[in-house]
Amino acid sequence: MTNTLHRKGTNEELKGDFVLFALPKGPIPDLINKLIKFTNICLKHKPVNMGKVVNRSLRRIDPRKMEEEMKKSLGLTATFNDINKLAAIIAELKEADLGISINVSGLFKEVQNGCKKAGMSRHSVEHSLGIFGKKEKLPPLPILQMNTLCGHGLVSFNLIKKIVDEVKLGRMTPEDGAHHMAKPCECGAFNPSRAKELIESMLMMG
Amino acid sequence: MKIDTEKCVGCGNCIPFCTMGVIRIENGLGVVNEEECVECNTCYRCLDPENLKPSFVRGIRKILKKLRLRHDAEHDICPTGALTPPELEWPRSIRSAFSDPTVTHDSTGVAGRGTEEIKTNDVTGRIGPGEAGVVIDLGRPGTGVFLRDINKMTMALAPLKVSFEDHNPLTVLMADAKIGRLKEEVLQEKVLSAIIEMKLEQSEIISVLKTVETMADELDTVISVGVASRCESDGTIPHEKICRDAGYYLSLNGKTNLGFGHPVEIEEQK
Repeated sequence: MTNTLHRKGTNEELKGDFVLFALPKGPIPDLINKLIKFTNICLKHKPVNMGKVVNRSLRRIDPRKMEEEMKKSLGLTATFNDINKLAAIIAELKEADLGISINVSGLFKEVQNGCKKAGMSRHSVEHSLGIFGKKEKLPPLPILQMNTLCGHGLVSFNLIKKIVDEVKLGRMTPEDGAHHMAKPCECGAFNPSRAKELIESMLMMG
Repeated sequence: MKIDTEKCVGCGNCIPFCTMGVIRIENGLGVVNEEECVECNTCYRCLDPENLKPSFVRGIRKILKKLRLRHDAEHDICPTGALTPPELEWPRSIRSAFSDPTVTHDSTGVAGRGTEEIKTNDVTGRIGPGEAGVVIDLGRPGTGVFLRDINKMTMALAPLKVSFEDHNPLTVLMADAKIGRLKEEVLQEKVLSAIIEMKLEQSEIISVLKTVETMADELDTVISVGVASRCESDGTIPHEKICRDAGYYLSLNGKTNLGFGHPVEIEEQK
């Protein structure tokens, strides 16, 4: 899965978008309690979306009902809209020493700074090299920026256009539009806060 | 995806949810282009069925039309529950396994399209010092890809000094991994996207990327490419200089494995 690798935006825009995910691998003693700790650390820092474990795979939640949805669930994915929270989260995860692989998808510079502040060095890094091939098949950049917020590509180009049109017609607010778009994303990696900003910028562009 | 013609009232709510844009209204009913449908089930998962009687909905719509009134329903409902995911048989079942993240691959036991790349590298050590991982995500973003196109890419890459990741579902579909050839019976299947995942020496990164670039122009889709490596002890990323020196764009953002995982052997010793 490269589900969060190809998120697009400028340095400033991406400060409002990072995803944290835990991937248990191999025999991990007391795994459930460790995932509860991971979930609680994430919740403490007010994510804008999360993915919860249902029948050993990830399922979406309604981000507007975060507390209720995650009360008795284990989270593996948490999406945030403020990069300033990252260093504290890394420090708390280091302190918790869960023994589980934890990855951050976000601005490399900020992640590295967070690691340095926690007195640690990052383990492995993966860059996107962008898009090759028949790019003429692709819609304009703002729609791509929205589409790539769901790594599995389940937020279709047509849904994005439709929702933006509905907002333009005053039938829904940008915030409601963003939450409508979050619905197809099953991993909780879709960032409704960034989506709202993208809708607003698309409205400005006309 | 199947649309039950007895139930469908042609509201068109499913059309924007279709990841491939292959649902249309014909003679007042929703129709799926099955050749292009990737069985991602997004329409089915996102549209809540109201399970109203089709005759009731049609009747109401006729009355509203006569009165020159229009009812804008919620976007994410199917008024009559007409969407019906079919039982998929091999090889069509591949479509769903790659395109619907809630479906687990029979071959790998992993849901979605790929394996874990660097995400568990702190535990598995899959990509070690001097090595790199390259992931080629075909069909992404939002375009989809036929496996016949993936086959062209894997066969072009196989002669290079790469090893396809054993546990990747595409590798499992290869008839002959040495030459990168996929099984004949899967070639006409289409998926939302699929990832070719390889491990190679860092010295081979550029030759692989050049091949991907050349082949990409011959395929009827788009490709998102990623490169990964294990960091040096000071946090330096080995592939960064290699790619930049060769003129490749590198993203500002991406994935970082923080290194919190305990290698399996260490955990077992504990």
